[in-house]
Amino acid sequence: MINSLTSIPNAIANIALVTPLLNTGYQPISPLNGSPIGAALFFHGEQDNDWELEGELTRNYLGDNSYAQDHFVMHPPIIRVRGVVGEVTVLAPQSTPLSPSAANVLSIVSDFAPGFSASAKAIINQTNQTYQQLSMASNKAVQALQSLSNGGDILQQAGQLIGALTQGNQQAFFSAIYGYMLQQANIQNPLWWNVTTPWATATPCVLTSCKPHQSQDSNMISEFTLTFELIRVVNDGQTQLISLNRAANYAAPPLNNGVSVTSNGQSISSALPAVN
Amino acid sequence: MLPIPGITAQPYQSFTVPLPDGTKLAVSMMYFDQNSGWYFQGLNWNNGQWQENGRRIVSHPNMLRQYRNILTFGLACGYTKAPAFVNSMREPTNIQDFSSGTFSLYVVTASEVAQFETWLQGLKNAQVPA
Repeated sequence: MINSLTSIPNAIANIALVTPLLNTGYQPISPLNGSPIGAALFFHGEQDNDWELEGELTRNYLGDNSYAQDHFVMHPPIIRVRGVVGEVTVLAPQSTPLSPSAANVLSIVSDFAPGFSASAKAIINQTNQTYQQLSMASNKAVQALQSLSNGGDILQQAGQLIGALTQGNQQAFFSAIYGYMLQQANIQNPLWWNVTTPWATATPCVLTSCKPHQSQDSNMISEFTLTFELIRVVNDGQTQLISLNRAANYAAPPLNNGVSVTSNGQSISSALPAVN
Repeated sequence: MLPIPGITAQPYQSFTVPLPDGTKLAVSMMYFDQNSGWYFQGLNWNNGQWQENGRRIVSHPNMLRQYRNILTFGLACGYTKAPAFVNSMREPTNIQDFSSGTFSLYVVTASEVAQFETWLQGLKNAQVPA
């Protein structure tokens, strides 16, 4: 049973406040110590973010079929995120503090735009450089995942199921999600998630649903709907004294007292209360 | 009523009680922590002529009243200090209740079983409005 007094601060402590414009993505973490496993996943374009904060008012049915509602319980929050992953993007990974999408767009129309100041150009160049570095890092992450899918166990299964070693962005994202989902079900070596949303970072979560969708309009872009559920862990405890006494009593050996010879005691008539 | 001596605070214990009519009653009793109560695990009278397994020990002048027509005795539980069944009664809920002498287990003789029935009838009559 969850101790409500301790679960409330724990639940709030699991939600770290975030800087809305700084997206740290969807980060697989180790259940043991919360350390990151692999690289965080990012959509190329964020779409909808939803939290479902729901609870339930317990109904106790009474004799006349009406009911009393006297206790509210909170369900684990459900976090649903939607985004797109495409083969050709003009967006840098969203971990970049200053969005380089503006720089990309501006560089295309620069012939028609007024000139930039030296400081602005420095920022644009710096942003571009960051973008290139991140792009390389992202490619390396995909390569790492591909190498894992050749040699890893759970991830290898995912790789075999998908059967594609030369992956596009959509396939890489899909195979990563699929592999991580499979690994979640590995009891001996599971993983959890750290999920950034516009309002809060929820940790630890489990990815309960992934719905990839590619519309008929284009095979260059896919939409992914990911549903996370916040994990709630229960710690139970016993009063040591009670558990020790109970354990000792249950484990006690039977004792044979032998023959118990009775003696005369109070008479039953004197032991009963008088009838008035 | 004949108090049965030697009940300890041991959770599982058994003993044999010689009865006034010469027969014997073998008793095994246990203390159940989670229910905070004492139980008869097994009662065996006269080498299996009558047996009962599983009965909570409660404060009562004759816990075996339902068998009064086939048994030559009864079993009572009440305060050790007389009178056993009056004044702020409670059940034997502590493991030390018998060993500390607060409660006693009694053999009720055949004549006392009959006396209790008479007392009960008097109680019923007193409650019937005139």
